[in-house]
Amino acid sequence: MNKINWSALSYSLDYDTPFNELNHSERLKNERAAPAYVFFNKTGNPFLGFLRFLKRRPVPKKTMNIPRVMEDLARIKRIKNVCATILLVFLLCGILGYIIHNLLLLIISMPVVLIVVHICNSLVKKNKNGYTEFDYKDYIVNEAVFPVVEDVLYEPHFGIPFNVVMDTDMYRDIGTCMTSDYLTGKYHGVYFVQAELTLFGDSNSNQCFAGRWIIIKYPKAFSGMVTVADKRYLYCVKKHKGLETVKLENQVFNSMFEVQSNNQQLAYYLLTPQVMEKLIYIKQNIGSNVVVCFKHGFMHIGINNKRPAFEPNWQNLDANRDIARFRNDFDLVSSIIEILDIDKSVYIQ
Amino acid sequence: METIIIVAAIIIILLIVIILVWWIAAQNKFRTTQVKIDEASSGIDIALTKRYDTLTKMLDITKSYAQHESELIGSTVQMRSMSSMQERKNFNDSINEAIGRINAVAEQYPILLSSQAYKQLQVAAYDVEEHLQAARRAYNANVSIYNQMLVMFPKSIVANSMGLTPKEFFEAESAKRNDVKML
Repeated sequence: MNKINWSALSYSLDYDTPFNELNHSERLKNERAAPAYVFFNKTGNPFLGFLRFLKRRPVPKKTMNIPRVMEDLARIKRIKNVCATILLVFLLCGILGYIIHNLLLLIISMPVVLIVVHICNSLVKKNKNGYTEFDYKDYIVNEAVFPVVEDVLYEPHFGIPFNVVMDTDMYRDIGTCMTSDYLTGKYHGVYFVQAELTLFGDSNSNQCFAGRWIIIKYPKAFSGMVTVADKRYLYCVKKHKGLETVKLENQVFNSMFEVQSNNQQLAYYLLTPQVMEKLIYIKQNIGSNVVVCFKHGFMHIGINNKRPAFEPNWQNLDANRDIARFRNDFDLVSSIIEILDIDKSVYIQ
Repeated sequence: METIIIVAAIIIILLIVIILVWWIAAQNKFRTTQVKIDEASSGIDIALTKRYDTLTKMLDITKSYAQHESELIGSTVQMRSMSSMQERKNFNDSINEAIGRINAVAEQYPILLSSQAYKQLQVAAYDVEEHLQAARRAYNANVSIYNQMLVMFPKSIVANSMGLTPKEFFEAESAKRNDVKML
C-alpha cells in the first residue's frame, strides 16, 4: 500500500482555467491518475477539494419557478417519448427489412436512427434558459436539506472519486466505478459528503457495490485504521494481513460484522455501543450490506442497498413528495452523525 | 502381534504429539490474551495519567479565581503508582470527584467558565474520558475472554499448570453506576 503523507496536503491548482466539463474521458483519466489526498481540502469543507481538483467554479443558482420547471420537464418528456417512438419504428422497420429482404434496409435505417437521436438531443437542449432534470434534482435536494444542512453543495454530474474509495483498501478486485450526485455540506458542525456509487470487478464485470457512499469528517483526532465489514459481504472485502480481527463486547454485532484494526483500543474508541447499534439497525432495517472504514480522520460508510437515493420518479413528478422522500433518505446521514456522538459543541471549534 | 504393538505405539505417539501441540497452543493463547490485557491495562494507565494532567491544568486555571478551593481540591488527588485495578478505579473516582468540584467552583465565576483556556480543557477532559472508556471496554473484553478460558475444561488444566488466576475487571465508576435507577 502506498504511504501518503496526509499531513502535508499542499496540492494547488490554477483556478483561472475553467474545467472543460464536456471532456468526460479526460476528466476520468486525470482522476484515476491522481492520489486520493488531492481530492480533499486542507481547511474548511474537506470535500470541496474534489471540485477544486476539477477546477469547477460554483454554478450560479437558477431562480426556481416550479410550475415552469414542471412544464419544461413535461416538454422534455414529450420530446423523448416522440423520439423513442420514432427510433423504435425505424429499428423495427430495419430489422423487418433485414428479415424480409436483405441487410441494406437495416444499414439504411441506421443513419436515420442517428439523425433522430441528434435531433432529439438538440431539441432537449434548445431552450438554454429552460429547466432540466438536473435543475429539478438540485431544487429537490436543496429544499430537502436546506433547513438542517449548512453550505449545501449538490453536483449531480460528479461523484466520489474512484481513488478515494480505493484508498480505503476495503475492496479486492475492483476495476471501474460509476458515480454521481455529489452532495456535501455541514450537519451539526460536521462536514459530510454522500454520492451514488457503483463498483465493478476488475477480472469480471460483476457489480460489487451499488448504493450510497458516505464520508464524514471525524472531528475527533485518530490515527490508524479500523474496518467493519458485513460477514455476508466478505467475498468482496479485502482481508488485511497487517490488521488483527477484533471482537467487541456486543455479540449480535460480532455475529453480523467482522472488525479489523491495527489497534484494538482504537476499534473500541471509534465503535462505541451506539455506533454498533446503529450499524445493526442499518443492516436489519435497510436490508443492505454495510461496510465502514475509519482512515485518515474520515469515516467512510458504504450502504450497498442497490437503490438510488437521488432519482425521482420521472414519469410522475411531485415536488412535495420527492422532497419528503429525499429528506427521509437524508435522515440516514443525519442520524449517523447524531448517533456517532461527534456533533458535540465541545468538539466543533 | 508385533504389528498391533507398532500400530498401538504409533497411535499413542500421535496422541501424545496432538496433546502436546494442543497444550502449547493453549499456553500461547493464554499468553497472547495476557499480553492483550497488559496492553489494554497500559491504555487505562495512559488515559488516567492524561486525566490527571488535565485536572492539574484545570486546577492551575481555577487557582487565579479561587485559590483556597483549588488547593483543597488538589490536595485530595495525588498521582500514585497503581498496581491493581481497584487502585486504578479509586484513582479514577477521585479524579471524577475533583473534576465535578472544579466545575462547581467554575460555575461561580462566569469569566472563568467562558474563558477559552477553560473551554479547551473541558474538551480535553471529555476526550480523555472517552479514551478511558475505550481502554476500559477493551480491557474488560479481554479479561472476560481470559477468565472464561480459565474455567473452561480442558483449558483449565493448562491454566492450573501455569498457575494462572482470574483477573479483576475495571468496573464503571460508582457514580455512573448509581445513575442507572429504575423508578
